[in-house]
Order: sequence, then structure tokens, then C-alpha cells
Amino acid sequence: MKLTMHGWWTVVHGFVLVPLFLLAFAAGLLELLTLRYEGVTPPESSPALRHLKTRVWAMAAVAWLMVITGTYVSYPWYRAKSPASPRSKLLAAHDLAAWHTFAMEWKEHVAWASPILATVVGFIVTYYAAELAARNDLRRAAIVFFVLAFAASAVGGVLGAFIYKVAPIL
Amino acid sequence: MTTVRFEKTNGPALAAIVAASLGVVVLGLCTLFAEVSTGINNALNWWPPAGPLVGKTGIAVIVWLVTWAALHLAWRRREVSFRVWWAVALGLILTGFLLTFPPIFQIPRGH
Repeated sequence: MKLTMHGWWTVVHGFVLVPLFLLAFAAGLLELLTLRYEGVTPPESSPALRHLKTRVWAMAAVAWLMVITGTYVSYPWYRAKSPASPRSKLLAAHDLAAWHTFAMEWKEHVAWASPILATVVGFIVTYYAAELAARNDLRRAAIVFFVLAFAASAVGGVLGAFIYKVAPIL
Repeated sequence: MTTVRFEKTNGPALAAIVAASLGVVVLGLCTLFAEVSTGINNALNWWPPAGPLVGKTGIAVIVWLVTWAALHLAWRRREVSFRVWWAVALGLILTGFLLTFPPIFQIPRGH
């Protein structure tokens, strides 16, 4: 099967960035959960802190790439006025219209919360560094933001996969 | 019990948290207002190929960054109430998430 340029961008947006995002989230969450104060704060140069910073910033960077490629590359093809565009096809079929009016409209908006929230986690982890281990309130807030960032992207990713299945961008 | 003394105040973290929450709620409000008014919907259409989504997300990002800079300057050396501002932030994020949920923001469409 030969992929068109639209197909390649969809692969990058959905099948390259999503796994990277999932890896960065899982690893970052684990590091945040295990960053604990045990009498002394970890040294600023400790591998745990270095890994934590790398992973949360990786998730933030991938989240930005996903919303930017999604909004500025894939979305214009999806919503093109042509009758062959996925949006036109979905809206033309009564039983498929909800894939646009509900799924796409939810995905395109809520996904943008993800990079904003993930960036904040990156900032908190970098700014407080070792001190974050002893600051339970801020560490928990960072964990909540990290999970919310994941949830917002998960809505976008899961709905995007279903929409692509019903009406692919070709 | 050991008391830990912190070198940094919590102001910068809460400035980032509150600003991001405001960005999320603004995203939700722009989504709703674009449904309420055709004029607003057209005004948000900054780049026609992607439609008003660019304006909605652009305004949310601008509000987030400007608020973050302002709050960071105001709170960078201050210890602020975590409980109060964390509750405010969660309330704003929940509202923002609800306003980006189609059954809610599409209420003005009448279906």
C-alpha cells in the first residue's frame, strides 16, 4: 500500500507521536510518584531527577507537536470543503454525523488543554527540582496536572483513531 | 518530626498552575462563545483552512502565557495559599473541560 502525503502526516500525528506520548507519560508519572523525601532531598544531579525532567518535558513537547500537527496539518484536510473530505462524508451520512458533531468537535478542543497542563508540570519539576521531593502539595499538584494532561490527550487520541477508522484522511 | 525549610516560595508554581487553568477555561469559553455568536465565530477564524479553532486556541494560549508572566512577577517571592489557589485552579479546569464537551457547548445550537 502506498501512502499519500496526507497519509504520512496522519501516521506521524497518530502512530508516531502517540506511542512517544504514552511512553513519556508512563515514565514521567512513575518518576513523579516515586520522588519522595526521605530525610534528605535528592541531589540536583541525581539520575532520578534528570530522568524526571527529561520525561515530563518530553511529554510536553510531544503534546505540543500533536496539537500543532493536528490543527495546522491534518485538520485542514479533514475539514476541506470538498465532498470527498472526511468531514463532508461524515456530515452527509445521518448515522455517521455524530463522529463529527460529537467526536471530532470534542477532540479538537479538549486536546489543546494537554500541552498547556504538561508544560506547567515541566516548569514545576525544573524550577523546584530536588525541593519537589519534600513539597508534597506541589508534587501532588504536578501529578494531578500530569494525569489531566494525559486524559485530555487520551480523549483526542482515542476519538481520533475511531474517526480515522470511519473516515480516513486519504 | 523534622521541619523542612524550603529555599523557594510556592508562588511561582501556583502562578503557573492558575495561569494554565485560566488558559483552559478561556479555551472553553471561546468554544462556547463561537457557538453563541456568528460574529465571534467569524472573528476567531484567524486561518480559514483550520477555521475558528485557530482563534480559540490562539486566544487561550495568549491568555495563559500573559497571565503566567504577570502572576509569576507578582508571586515569585511570595508564599501564597496553596489550598485556595489549588481549589480555584481545579474549578477553572473542570469548567474549561465541561465547556469543551459538545453536549454542553452545543446547547446554543438547540439540539
